[in-house]
Amino acid sequence: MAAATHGIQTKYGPVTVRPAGAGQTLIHTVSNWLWLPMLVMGGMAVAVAIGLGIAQADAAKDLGAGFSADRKADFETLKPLTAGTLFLGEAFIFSGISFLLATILGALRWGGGEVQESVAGPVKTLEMPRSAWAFLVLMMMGVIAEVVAFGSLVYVATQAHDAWIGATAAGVPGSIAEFNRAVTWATWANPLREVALGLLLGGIGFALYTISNVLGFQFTRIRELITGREEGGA
Amino acid sequence: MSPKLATFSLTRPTASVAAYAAEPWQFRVGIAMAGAGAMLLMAFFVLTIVIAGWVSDLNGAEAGNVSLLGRVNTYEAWLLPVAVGAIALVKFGIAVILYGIVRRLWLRVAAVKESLPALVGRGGGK
Repeated sequence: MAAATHGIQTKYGPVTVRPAGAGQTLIHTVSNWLWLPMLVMGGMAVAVAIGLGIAQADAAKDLGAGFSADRKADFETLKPLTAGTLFLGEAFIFSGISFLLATILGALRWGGGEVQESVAGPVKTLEMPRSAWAFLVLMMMGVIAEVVAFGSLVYVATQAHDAWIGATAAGVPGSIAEFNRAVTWATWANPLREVALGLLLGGIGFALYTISNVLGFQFTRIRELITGREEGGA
Repeated sequence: MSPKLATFSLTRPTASVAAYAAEPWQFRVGIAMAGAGAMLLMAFFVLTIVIAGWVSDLNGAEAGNVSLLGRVNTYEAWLLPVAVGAIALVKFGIAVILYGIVRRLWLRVAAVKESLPALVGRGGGK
């Protein structure tokens, strides 16, 4: 009769020994659902941003032909909108890549269980390591920061529009208060976009580290099964 | 979690283990996308050098030239999103390659499942 589920410690981290494979976790299932929609949304956001950029270029051309408050307001409104949408798209694409990496981890866990089941041995499964939790937390923080940055840049766009719509000359906004508000918000919202991308990339780094650790565990487990000698102890 | 949800996978191939040795299209397409994105970025970089020349003119002999300032703003306005679009193309290439890796991984699982029992018998393990 197969032994009951119990835990052991290995150099790769805590491991659960089960009579049958563990399958994938909820996180892996969610990743399997979300990687494609995230990539599609990212592509759409970048396409929209390219459209906004072309509209901004058109506004800049009109402004070059002669100053008017409307033209200046259009140009200054489109600038933060383009940047915000662009980086939102980038964040979605990075999220899609992160979910794909989580899918790789799911395949290693689920497939590793099936391989061990094929020889009717006890199935050893790595517990979710801390690096995987760090990956998840960084990814979620990155997406939240990017959405906040996007919302802030939309606000900057509305303030910039209101600031320039009453302008009477090229360098003189119609409303100084709204102009200052737009500049203040843009000053921290633009770096926040970079922070968000940094968090997402940091998460991807942790995911790759986790994959490396899980691969090491899987190779050791296959050797154990073939040679019959216990390896990978703590 | 229901068994149906627990076994959902968009990346697990339904092909037999015989497909293990086949060349996956994802690697070629992914590399082509990433390469195209990198080449576009290089082209855009050359364009930024031209724009830098105009900016230099604006700070010198052409100071106050509204038409030249408009041209600089026009090029800069479309260049940033299009360049980020090229970076996105590189990232999509990475995503396609990762998709290929997951598919390959599943084929490897199938291959190891098929061959491991024979190896275990020879190696004296289990």
